Amino acid sequence: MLEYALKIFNQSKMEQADIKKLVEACIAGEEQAQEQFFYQFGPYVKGVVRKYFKNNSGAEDAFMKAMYKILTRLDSLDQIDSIFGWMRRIAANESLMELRGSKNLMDVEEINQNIPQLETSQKQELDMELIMRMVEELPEGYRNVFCLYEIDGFKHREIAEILGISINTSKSQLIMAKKRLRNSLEALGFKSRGQ
Amino acid sequence: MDQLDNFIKQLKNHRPAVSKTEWLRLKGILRQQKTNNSPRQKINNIRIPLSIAAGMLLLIGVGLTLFLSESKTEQNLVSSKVESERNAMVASLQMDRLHHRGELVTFREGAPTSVSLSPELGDPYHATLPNGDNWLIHLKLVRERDHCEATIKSINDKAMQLQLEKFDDECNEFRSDSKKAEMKWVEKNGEERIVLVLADGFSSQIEAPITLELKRIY
Repeated sequence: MLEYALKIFNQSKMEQADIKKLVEACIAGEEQAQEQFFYQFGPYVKGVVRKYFKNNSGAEDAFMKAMYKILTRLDSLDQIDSIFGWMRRIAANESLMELRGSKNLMDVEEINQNIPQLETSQKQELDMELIMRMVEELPEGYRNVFCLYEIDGFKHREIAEILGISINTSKSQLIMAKKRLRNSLEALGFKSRGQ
Repeated sequence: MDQLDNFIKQLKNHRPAVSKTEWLRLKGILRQQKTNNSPRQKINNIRIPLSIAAGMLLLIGVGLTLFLSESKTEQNLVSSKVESERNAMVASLQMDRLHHRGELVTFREGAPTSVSLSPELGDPYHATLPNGDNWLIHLKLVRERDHCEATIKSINDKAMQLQLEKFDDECNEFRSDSKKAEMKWVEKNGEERIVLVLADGFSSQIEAPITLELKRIY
């Protein structure tokens, strides 16, 4: 465990030049480099993927597919400084594809009015598990648009293309998603802007 | 800062830990794909489709050969049929000339361009029976010094092969073994004519011996 923590710590300090070397080694098919790449960038990719799913099993498959695609398509990466954006897009797309293929898809129109009562914490910093649960409780349509726009930096035009919805739908679903999250936060005792 | 903004910021920075198990799983997938992409595996991958394709090509080849063979046989049959029809057409044309032009004005005009005569068919001759019927007789006649031959090839397009034997040294007279037919060259008004004598048993139509004067049509 300590070894792993040290590895993560060292990898977090990677310079761009080092990342470039690592990427080149991965393109050359060096397994050791691929392993290092996995531990270096895997958590980021997993973070992108995880929030699109209600359960871990679907997320795990999407994460594997995203990492596989990333590692096998590194040669199509134009600039090393855009690697995070590039990975984020691949991860988001793989997540959505996995969701489409999943039988446990939630209907886009499905709106769960009964948000379960979360354990209240008066801390300003939310527990990540709690955050994930709040995101998971969003209807799939809301969740996807919220994650794509707010977390992964897609534009409404791109979201509309990816999800096959109109730009206006994307915008309105984002508003609805944020409204729901604010309500959930208020229900937990957190104050929102303007209150 | 809005709590929601804080919420989003935390989500953005969320970095779940990855496990050794996940890496091993991914490594397995990568290795599998690497194996699949290796030249040997690629050859293996295309070996079965290639075998199937080769088998299908072989089958198609055999089928095509059989088909062509059948087609050729059929073509030969068709050719025979065409030849037969052509011969019939020759006879028909000749008969038409005989019937439509009465006094055989077309004699020695030459064969119609649409008709290709076969050496095996013989040369066409006309004869008028005592009852007025016109006959078309094909003969093969050779009257060379070292080769004399007279064969009746057909009468009214009815094929036959009646060979007459040379009866004299000058090749002026021929007779069949059965003595049913006799052919000779005679001179009449300064012209050489061919006379064919058929015995009463030559055919069911002939009740008494008849003498026919043969004239070359073309």
